[in-house]
Amino acid sequence: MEYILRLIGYIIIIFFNGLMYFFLHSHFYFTVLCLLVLAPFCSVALNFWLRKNIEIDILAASAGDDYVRTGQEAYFYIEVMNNTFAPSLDAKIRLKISNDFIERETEETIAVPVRIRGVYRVELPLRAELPGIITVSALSVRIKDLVGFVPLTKKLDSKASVTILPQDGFRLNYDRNVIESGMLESEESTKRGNDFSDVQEIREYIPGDKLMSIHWKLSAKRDILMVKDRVSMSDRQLVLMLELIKDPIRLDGILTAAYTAVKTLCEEHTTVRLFYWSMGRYDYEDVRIDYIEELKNAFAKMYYEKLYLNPEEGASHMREVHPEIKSYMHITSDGSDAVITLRDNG
Amino acid sequence: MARKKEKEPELILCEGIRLSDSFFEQKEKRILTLILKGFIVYLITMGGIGFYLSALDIKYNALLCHFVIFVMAIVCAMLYYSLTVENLGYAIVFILFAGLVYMFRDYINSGFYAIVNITIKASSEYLGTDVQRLYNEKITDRYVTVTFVSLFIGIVMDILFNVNISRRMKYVDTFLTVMFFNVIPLYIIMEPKLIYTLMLLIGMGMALVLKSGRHYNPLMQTKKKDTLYEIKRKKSVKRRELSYVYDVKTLAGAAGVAAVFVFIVVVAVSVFKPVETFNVGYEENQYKELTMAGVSLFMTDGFDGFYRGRGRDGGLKSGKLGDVSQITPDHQTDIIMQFTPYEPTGLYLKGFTGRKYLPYQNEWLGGADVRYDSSTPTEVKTPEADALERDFEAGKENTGKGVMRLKYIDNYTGTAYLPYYYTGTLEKSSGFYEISYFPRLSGNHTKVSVNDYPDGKPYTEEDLYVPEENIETIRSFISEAGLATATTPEVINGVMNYFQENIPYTVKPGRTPDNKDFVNYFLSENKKGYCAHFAASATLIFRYMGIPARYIEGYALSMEDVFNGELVEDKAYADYYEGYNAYGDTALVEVDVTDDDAHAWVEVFDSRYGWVVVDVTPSSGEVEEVDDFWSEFDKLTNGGNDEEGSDDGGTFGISDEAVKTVIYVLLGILLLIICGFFLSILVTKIMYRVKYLKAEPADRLVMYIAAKRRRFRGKDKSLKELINYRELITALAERAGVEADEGLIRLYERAGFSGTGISEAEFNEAVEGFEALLKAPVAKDEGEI
Repeated sequence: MEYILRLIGYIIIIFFNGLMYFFLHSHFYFTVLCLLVLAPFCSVALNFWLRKNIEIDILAASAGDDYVRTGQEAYFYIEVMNNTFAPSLDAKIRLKISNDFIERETEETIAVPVRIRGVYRVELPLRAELPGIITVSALSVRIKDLVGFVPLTKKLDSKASVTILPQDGFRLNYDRNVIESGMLESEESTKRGNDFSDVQEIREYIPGDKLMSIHWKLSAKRDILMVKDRVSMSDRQLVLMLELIKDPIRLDGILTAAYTAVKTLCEEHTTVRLFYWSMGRYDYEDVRIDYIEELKNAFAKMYYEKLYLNPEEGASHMREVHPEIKSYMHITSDGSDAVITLRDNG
Repeated sequence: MARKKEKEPELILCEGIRLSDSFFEQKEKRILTLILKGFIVYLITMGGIGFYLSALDIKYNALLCHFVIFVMAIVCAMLYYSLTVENLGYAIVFILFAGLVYMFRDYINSGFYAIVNITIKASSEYLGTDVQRLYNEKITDRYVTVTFVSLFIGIVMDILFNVNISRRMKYVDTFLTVMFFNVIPLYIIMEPKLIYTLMLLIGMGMALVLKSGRHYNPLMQTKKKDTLYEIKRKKSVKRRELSYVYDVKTLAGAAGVAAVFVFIVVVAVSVFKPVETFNVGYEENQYKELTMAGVSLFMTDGFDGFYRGRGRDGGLKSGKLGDVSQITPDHQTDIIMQFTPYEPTGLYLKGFTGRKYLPYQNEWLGGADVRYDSSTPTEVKTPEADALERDFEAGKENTGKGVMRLKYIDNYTGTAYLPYYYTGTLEKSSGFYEISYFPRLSGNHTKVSVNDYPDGKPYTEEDLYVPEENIETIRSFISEAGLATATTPEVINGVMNYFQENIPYTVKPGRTPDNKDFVNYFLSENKKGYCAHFAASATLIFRYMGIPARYIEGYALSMEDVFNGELVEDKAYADYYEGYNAYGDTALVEVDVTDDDAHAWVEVFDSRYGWVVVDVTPSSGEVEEVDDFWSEFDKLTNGGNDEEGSDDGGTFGISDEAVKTVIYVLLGILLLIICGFFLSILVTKIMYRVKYLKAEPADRLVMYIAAKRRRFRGKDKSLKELINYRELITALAERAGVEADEGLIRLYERAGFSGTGISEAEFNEAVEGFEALLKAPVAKDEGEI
């Protein structure tokens, strides 16, 4: 409608200038008439040129850390690059902003300028309130020409993501006895980690092996990296199982509790096996975590899982799939808060 | 309890993702943008001024004008840095400007008149009209005065166009304003220099592009007034747009592209269609020709020409007196006269004869002696003509016979204006009426016998009638003039001398007040006037003194008018004049008799020569009363009373028909503006109501609370400033002494900031909650809030 009204207004202006020219037969009004007639064509031609050459990229960066926590700002950048002499004062970029993990998304429009032979950068600071992966995708751009008659649209295919981890700025208040009752053997395992007698076999290094597993002496002798494949002396380990339920608020509580618990244990040099139920594979994901970095990676990987409604879904398969696990820490939600309980798998 | 400033909630994009406030903390570069806008204003202003001056080839100090207008444009643009700067800055600029204008008023005034005079001359040349009046330039150095007036107009335009351009890029309004006066040179086929066409059109092109882009205006009215980004809401809160306010580099780039485009097109047009040959072989279109008469009138008389109307015979309206405040001839030709000049005296064409004066009605009863519009040609004869004809036929000295040809133009009265002393039949031939006449040449002593008049009565009682109402005034006049015991020639000469010495001639005597008599007012109060005043008064004075007299209206031509005429080549002198001619055998001359020649005089009966012309109007030293702006302004403030000592209480200024008309028109316009204002409010309210009813619940709630917020008055006025819903609801709750309802706050925040919207039930709940807070009695500790 805006464009039609502008066009009608412009035609009226041309008409009145035409009348003035007819009446006065003035060279000036003839010039004005030429300008008014030519301007839209020139403007549209420039706009086609611009559409062909415009490039729009979405970039992402986090503030300081590799990952962004809930409550922090995730910085996205929209770069509008134009190598032509055709500018636009109004280019509307259609963006899709989503958190794929919790399945929330919105479409927003942002109007930006297109500079002549230059780059315009928009900083888009998004504050994540829930964990997951925030993705900003540029879907299309609608470029208004200089006199504003013919907007041209170009499809875009650029996106960037930032992983949002739960907050870790507080200490977990947990029942130490509950945790410790499930971690005795694991602790023993950790303490005996350097004992060579616990090594089941020595093999060649495979990418992904931990640095601490490398047998440095042997590697030096053979001139090739060798690793020690450890085996736990016990069948009781600290197993932590969390539920990936669909309610985003409750899920945030569960993830925050899980993250905080694992992080606390890592800081105390305790190995944790993190379990969660994968609806896609219909099996458990079992991630061994010794370090904070492994915890972050585990969460980042977990964000690609599909959520489910049942808050006991994960626990319900444990006895069948992992009967060897005697007990485990179960993290779910009671409707408002996250709850950590020791579950006997017997 | 002091109210704590809360942070406005961040914009919710979707669940779990908000747009951080830091997005809105990015700043725009206002100064650079304002400079760009100032530059556009400079281009338009200087382009507009240069357009006019260069088209009419008026010399001035262009460099100084460019510099001052550029600096002023930038300064004015900078006033838009903030609302405070704008308000304060404009006040300072106006005071300084007014001071400078007052200081240099003579230069500005003279420069303005110089431009007007040059325009009038150029227009007259184009339209083929004579320059009838020029304004008096107090300072004659046009180079200086035109420079001054250009600076004055330039600064005014800078201020005006900054309002138009900086705020809203109103390029159409600006163009119309610039072209309002610049159409004048174009009308008379005078084109501006290329540089000024370029400046004006580049400025316009830039403004058009910026306006179309819609990203040029800072957020002056909002809290975050220097932010680079804003949220634009469209129709509903769900349809919003994150939008940049403006980017100076892009604005400059777009303006630059517009400038290059305009430059190329203008130069190309100038090359392929040069201005010098543009109108070669072109004939004016008929519509323009239709306007030329009106424009001619405007050029000669200004607006007076329109509102005073035409064809008023220079203020003489067939015996009607005192109806106009000033003589306003239309300078148009009323009669085309062909005759042979015979001696260096003036020539009178008699039309209306006033016989009976009606006091207070200010009118002479009488009429035309001869009409040219009668169905059958009438034979006309006067005893004076008969006597002169007899002497001419007898071959006496100083006698002659002429034939005059007259073409009456736009003479709606049908009065035939004829020379002294006409005789025969008024016949039409080749578009002209022809009449024979026997002039009483200098040195002619042809006697007219009383018996030559019908019934032996050369005059009637009417020719000696003086109304009772005028007797006292006339008696006083005669006493003052010392004519009580004078003879007839002494009376006539005495009156003429008295008028010449004591009563000045003026074309602007002022209108005779409604309750006053024309002659009495002239002789005893106003004591100034034009020919009708002198002739009417003299007629009554002569009558009072026993001299038969008549009031006559017609045209009086000087020999200068005659010599300005053109020879009629295909006519023989002998066919149009016989007898004595002081110039020898001349030729038939065609003279345009215009409104300027309209005149009134007196005919008195002389026992020897019959009815003879007595012209009592004193010679006028008044060339053209065109005052400057300041004296006109002074007159305006004095109620139009332009003569010191005038005791009419400013009546003619206010009662003048034209002034009244202007006042009525102004009042009408004012009334229209007031009606338009209220109508616009009504329309806005209706539109708002329609929008409100059609809006979705979330939008409706936003509109509802915005409307409520606007209505806070008195003690609650501070609540108006609380844009944040939380702040507003909390403040109202505190005022009522209750706890703020968090649910209610969240409902409003959801409606206002999230895209999820609210239901109809929630809308009702939110409205009820808010209304309850508004209606709740004020708690006693309200003052602490």
